[in-house]
Amino acid sequence: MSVNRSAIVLGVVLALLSTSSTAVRAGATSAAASYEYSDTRELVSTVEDAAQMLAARGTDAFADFAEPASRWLHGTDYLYVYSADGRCLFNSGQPELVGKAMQDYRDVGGRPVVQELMAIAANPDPHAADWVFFLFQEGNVLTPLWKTSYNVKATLPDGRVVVVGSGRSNLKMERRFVTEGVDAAAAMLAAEGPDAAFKAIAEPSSRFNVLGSYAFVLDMQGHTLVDPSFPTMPGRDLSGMTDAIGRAYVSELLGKLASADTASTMFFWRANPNDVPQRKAIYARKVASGGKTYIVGTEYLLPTPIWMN
Amino acid sequence: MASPSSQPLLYGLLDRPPLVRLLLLAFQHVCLMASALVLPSVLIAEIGGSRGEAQTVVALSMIACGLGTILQAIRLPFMGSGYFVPNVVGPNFFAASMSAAWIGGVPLMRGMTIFAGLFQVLFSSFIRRVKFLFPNEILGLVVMMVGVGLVPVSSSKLMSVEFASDVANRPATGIALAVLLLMMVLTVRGKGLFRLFAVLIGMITGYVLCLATGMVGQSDLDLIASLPWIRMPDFASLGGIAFRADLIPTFIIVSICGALKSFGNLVLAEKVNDPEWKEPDMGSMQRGLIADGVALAGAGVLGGMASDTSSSNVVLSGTSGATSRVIAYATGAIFIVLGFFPKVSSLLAVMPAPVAGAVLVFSACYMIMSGLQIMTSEKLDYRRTFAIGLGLFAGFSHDMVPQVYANVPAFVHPVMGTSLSFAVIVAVLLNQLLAVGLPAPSPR
Repeated sequence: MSVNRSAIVLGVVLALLSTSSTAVRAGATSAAASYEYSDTRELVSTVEDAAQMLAARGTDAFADFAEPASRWLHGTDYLYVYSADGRCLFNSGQPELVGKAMQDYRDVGGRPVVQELMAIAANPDPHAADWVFFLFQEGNVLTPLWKTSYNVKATLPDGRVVVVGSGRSNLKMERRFVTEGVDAAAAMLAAEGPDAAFKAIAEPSSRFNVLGSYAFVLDMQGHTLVDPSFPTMPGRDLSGMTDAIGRAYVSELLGKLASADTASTMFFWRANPNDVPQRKAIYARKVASGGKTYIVGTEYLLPTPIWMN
Repeated sequence: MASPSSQPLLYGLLDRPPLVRLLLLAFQHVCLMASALVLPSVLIAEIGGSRGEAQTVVALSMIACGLGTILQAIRLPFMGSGYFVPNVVGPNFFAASMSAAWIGGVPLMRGMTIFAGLFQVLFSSFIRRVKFLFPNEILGLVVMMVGVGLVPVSSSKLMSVEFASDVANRPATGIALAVLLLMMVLTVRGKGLFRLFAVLIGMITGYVLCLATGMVGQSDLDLIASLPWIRMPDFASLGGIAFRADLIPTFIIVSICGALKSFGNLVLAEKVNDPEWKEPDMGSMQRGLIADGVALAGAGVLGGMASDTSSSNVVLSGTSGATSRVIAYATGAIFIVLGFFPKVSSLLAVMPAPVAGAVLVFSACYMIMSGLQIMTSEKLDYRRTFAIGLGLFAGFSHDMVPQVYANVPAFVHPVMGTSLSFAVIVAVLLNQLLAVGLPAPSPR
């Protein structure tokens, strides 16, 4: 046959060169498998594996975590480790924080980030893990960006409890982030009643603010009771709202919730009149509290593949 | 160097390859078709459906696509072009199907898919009467814009960048380029089996490289391991069939776009099969589009996701030189059977992005250049130059600066569903407008 051998050799060499540069890790843990996006799964498996290393080797693992161009430290990805009382034990991205008591640290939106990490450490589940979302000023970027961090509790061989985590500023919104936030807000409303829960949900720096998507509370007719996005417009009737192509998406959602405890809907949204419509979704849950029924929900931008027209 | 159209076919339309070769050729096409099966899984996951529901929709999509492939290849008096133009789960329909599924679940997606299919059948019934609208330069534009329509998804896969926030994966891109180069070299310089199986060899090489470097995710492998070998689709889990009037405009748009894309694919298939091709057989085109519409409606009836003709497979049959109708039957049959074997179909469906990217870029290049070749087969006078030029301009602007069309009136939306529909409709209208007062072209 007359196949040009040099061209084939070139292809193979190119492939070998490319594959030798960075090994892509395949070992996602079972905790990671339930997420939709590969970068989320990669972050989860990295932090889960780091927690296992800490449990096995204690602080000796820090040397590995600090290895440049490793799985633990590359690009803008790095690990941090905090003690159960909020002291920074390790941070390869901001080494100046190591040794400092950080329990009072809040992000630029006032969110008590380290206290949320301490809550993970205080969780009685030995394998507790949770997401913490916060605004972070990365390098010399003018506007602080939302950072999505995954954090896992670990018990060192000497018995100390720590939390190891890592965050990324380019992770996509997972549906689980939203459902877990809404379900937690609904549980709080059911357990603590409207007065306490409404106040907590209305707080923009609360944990129910997921990457800038706030939880809201409606009555069953679609009037806002808590709306952190528009706090000066209480009691708005959303039932007649239509999307960029004229669909009455809120009344659709109310219709679904008439016969189900949870419902989702998708709609098209324009940030500005001349923008191309973007896909947004709402996840909502019906909850009874203080003798009334409420709707707790969050609307969020749906990650859309760049090829989808 | 021979041009693509002058390469002799190894197995023409009426040839029957030896059994082993036939099965391998069909398997090569099945691998390509399976790469789109990730779409129903993504759709069901996004609307919060279970893994079982996703498997059912995948299986029924495979059965519908297999039947559609056979239907297209059978040349009945009223339906089927007689060409090997396989059906796949249609990326064209993905956004519209997802909108329907979000609003009314799988029942509404099924109902609107049936509507789109029936609309396409209706649309197809006019195609012979409007033959004068589609001279060769316009047909070339259709074929070329089908190729251009592959550019977003193929470049996304080639660079392994699925979402705007993703970071390009250099090793993955390296593998994709190597696979692409291998397929091109085997097609351009290979003889016999190497040319016949250039894409399959490239895909297997890509799979091996991706497995060796961990680019087939563990979660994908775990999913495949968890699936049963044999499973009957659970029709009951799909619910019924629903319709909604306010979704009709959206599905008319995607139906027209799908029909135009299939038109382009059918033209290319005809041209590949006929070295002396001068103009399309509009009867064959019409029967092909009706078969495509029936397959689309059938996908909705069965409970699968909307199907569409596959440009990549038409390109593959052309570059491999194997366009035999018998391969179409075998491909359709294997695809139907695999619908009952979730483990095997999932293994094919988790095609790593570098492999899919290489195949799609390979196909897009061939489609674009075939379209250009058809376009320039006619002398491009001023009228044709401006009609085609403005069509191309409109199509490219649709993709490059979509913001400028964000607020067009609703009645224009069907024209602007995709760059393909926009380009073709602008070119057709301008071609007719500039021909006013000129003598009618003499029949060829």
